[in-house]
Amino acid sequence: MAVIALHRPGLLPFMRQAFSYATDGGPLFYAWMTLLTCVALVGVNAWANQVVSGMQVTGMGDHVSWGLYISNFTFFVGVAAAAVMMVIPAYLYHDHEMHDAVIVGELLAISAIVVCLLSVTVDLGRPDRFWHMMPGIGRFNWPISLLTWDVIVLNGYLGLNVWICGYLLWSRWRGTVPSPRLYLPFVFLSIIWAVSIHTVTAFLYCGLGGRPFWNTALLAPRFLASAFVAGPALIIVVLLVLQRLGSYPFGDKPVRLLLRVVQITALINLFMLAVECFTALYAGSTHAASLRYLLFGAHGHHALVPWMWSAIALNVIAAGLFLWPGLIRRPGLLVTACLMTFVGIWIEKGMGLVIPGFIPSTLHEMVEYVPSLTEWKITLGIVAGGLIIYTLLLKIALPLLSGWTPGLSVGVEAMDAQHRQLFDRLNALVVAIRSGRGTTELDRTMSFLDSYVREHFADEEQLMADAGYPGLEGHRRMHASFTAELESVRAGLASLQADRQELAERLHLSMRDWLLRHIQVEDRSYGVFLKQPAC
Amino acid sequence: MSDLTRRTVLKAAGATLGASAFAAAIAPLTQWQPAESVDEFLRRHYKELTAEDLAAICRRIEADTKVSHGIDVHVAAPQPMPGVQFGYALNLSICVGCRRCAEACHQENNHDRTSHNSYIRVFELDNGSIDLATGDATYDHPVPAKGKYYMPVQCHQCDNAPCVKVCPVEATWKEQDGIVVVDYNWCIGCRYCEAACPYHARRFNWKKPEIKAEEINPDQSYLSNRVRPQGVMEKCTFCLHRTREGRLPACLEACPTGARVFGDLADPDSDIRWVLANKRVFILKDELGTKPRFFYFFDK
Repeated sequence: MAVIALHRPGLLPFMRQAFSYATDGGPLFYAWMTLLTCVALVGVNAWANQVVSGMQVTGMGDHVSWGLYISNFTFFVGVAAAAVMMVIPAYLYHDHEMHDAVIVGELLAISAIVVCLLSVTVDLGRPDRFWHMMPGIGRFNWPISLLTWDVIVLNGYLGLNVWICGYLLWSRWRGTVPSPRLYLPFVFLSIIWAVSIHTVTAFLYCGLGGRPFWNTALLAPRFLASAFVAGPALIIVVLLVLQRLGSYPFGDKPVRLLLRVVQITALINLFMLAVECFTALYAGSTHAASLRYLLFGAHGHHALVPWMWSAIALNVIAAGLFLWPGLIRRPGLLVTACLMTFVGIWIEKGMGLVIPGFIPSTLHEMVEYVPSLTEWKITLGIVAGGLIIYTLLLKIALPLLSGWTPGLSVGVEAMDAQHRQLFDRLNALVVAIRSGRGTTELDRTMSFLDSYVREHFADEEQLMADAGYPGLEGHRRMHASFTAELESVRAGLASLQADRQELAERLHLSMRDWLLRHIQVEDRSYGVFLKQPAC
Repeated sequence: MSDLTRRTVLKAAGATLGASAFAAAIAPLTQWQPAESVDEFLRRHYKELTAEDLAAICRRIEADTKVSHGIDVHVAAPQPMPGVQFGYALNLSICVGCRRCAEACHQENNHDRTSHNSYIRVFELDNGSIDLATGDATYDHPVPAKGKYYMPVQCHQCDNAPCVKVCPVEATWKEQDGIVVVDYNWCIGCRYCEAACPYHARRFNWKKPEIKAEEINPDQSYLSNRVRPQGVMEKCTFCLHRTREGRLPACLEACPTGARVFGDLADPDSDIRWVLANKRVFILKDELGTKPRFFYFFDK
């Protein structure tokens, strides 16, 4: 007998579906994308003018020869590296709930790396000669130049994350169980790689003996610590916004876990800053000159002083808020704290780290730097570009991960339509519980799901019975256990004592996963049976 | 019209609008003239060029300068002289801080006139201190001032050059005779070398250098004083277009006090060897291990 296989949807429909997920949305989505596009285009225009007129349109000069672009680059390398704070619990500690949410971090890594690469590109005086830096074609000064290391680790990290996300989404689309062989090694590699991107970026600076402010072994650890504050803080904000928008059918355990991460890393980061200040200021060594300029101003110059103290204040207040146990129940305050530390670290390791390295200059001249309007336009344009990419990636990934895909087709159109409905209603209920909707609305959503489940199971069992499917009895038992589980969630929702978040977790973790596996394995086997030619 | 088609039409309209806005935003690039032919754009790294390739490139630059400035220049490509190791020493006891060296550099090396660029910065320091933090490079009064002494700083042509190490594309390297050069036609303008240099010796072309045709020094070379393109690094080359032909650097010739001593470190009978053997010599930022070929010394 020929092996009968159900059709697996291909790449073209995948692209089509991804395109429609990415471009369909409500008024809010279109407004957001229009805004980002406008900002990005202003940036593109400013960059085009900069290429034509030369870098004279920036605030940089031969004394402060790196500015906002490289500051922003450095900061976003850290944001990219922070995905690892979700990857580690998801894959090393098998945190089930993180497993779904980790994609939010990995997609952020992809977008942040794009921001980094663009930030370096706009800093080049001769972007037309970009290819000189390509291994094999140009003249790649590896391993001597740390910048070539950075090219390798950043592009490698981009590639790793694109592969991991792409493969998992592709499998989900195809309805196949992802083969661990094809992604787990890359996941573990990406953990080490995330550390490497920020270490190498720190080495760009601390390897320069002529810049005492950067020439400290503490720089790489500081980079990592601050990255693991700013990155998770941003992911917390993203998760909370997605929850609020109702487009995040996952649990809120990741938020709690990330909050635990920043509670610690925010303190470590402040501790390291204190260590740095003590070492330099107490001894009064040469690298105190830049630090003194940064903290107190020097020789009548103090452009960075208000920035740096704002950064310290923001980071200290945020670190304090993170430690307050009540914060998790105040989403508004939590977002505020996260944004505070995000901005604080952006200042501290962007402008507060790159610029003072040049002030005073290597010959001790005091020349200050203020970014020009062009630099702000280009920088904001790049960030808008990153947000466009991140928004589109999330719009594709989240529905793909939580909903029905053609890969789950059992070959019977009626059943496929019902399965799709099941996913949609289950997700709607998860979202309804998470967003704390009223009891009546919850009750309605619940009844809706409940009756639909019963109807669907009855239809499906009838179909199997009509066809004389031998596995009917076992299948019926599975259906019964699912219905019982649903019943207990319903009872829980009705009672006032039950923890609603826990119920939502049960719904999306065990029940949606059950549904997914059930369709992938058991339902497809009746699908195959039905397709066999009658004997 | 059905909802689906309306949506498609709207999306197509949005995409068209976005694409045309993008085209409009990027339009200034059409005015960009990197002044490079396709041949130049696709050419190989300096070290992979044959002598003929290099000669052809020099002729091309001469032709380009004729077009851009309307004058005839000669762009040579002098190679290091076998066995020669250039070194430079500067006598701090007699330097008066007149900055004629910096001005000579400005003229000789076809620097941008508007920024009055030079590869040399002269610091005025207080007697009794050698701390550059107390120095001033922007002094504007008759020299030598009472209680002051002067320290000109330029590229130290380090044997362990941080700028060469960090360049991601090998656009800068150390030649056989010890001179650190930049290929202006290979540099991508990332300015990592400028961050790495402990002596503030490197300069970036923040715009296209402006220089009147009649002020251009026509005696040029590929690796040194030809008029630089926009967006690339440049630096002191010990005037290699002169010194590799047995002449002295322009800054030395301009010095009214004879504070500057230039020569071949490999020649035991050279002046510079005599200075190194007999004077109280020091190098700037010794502790960084950059091994400069630029020395300072005192008479007394």
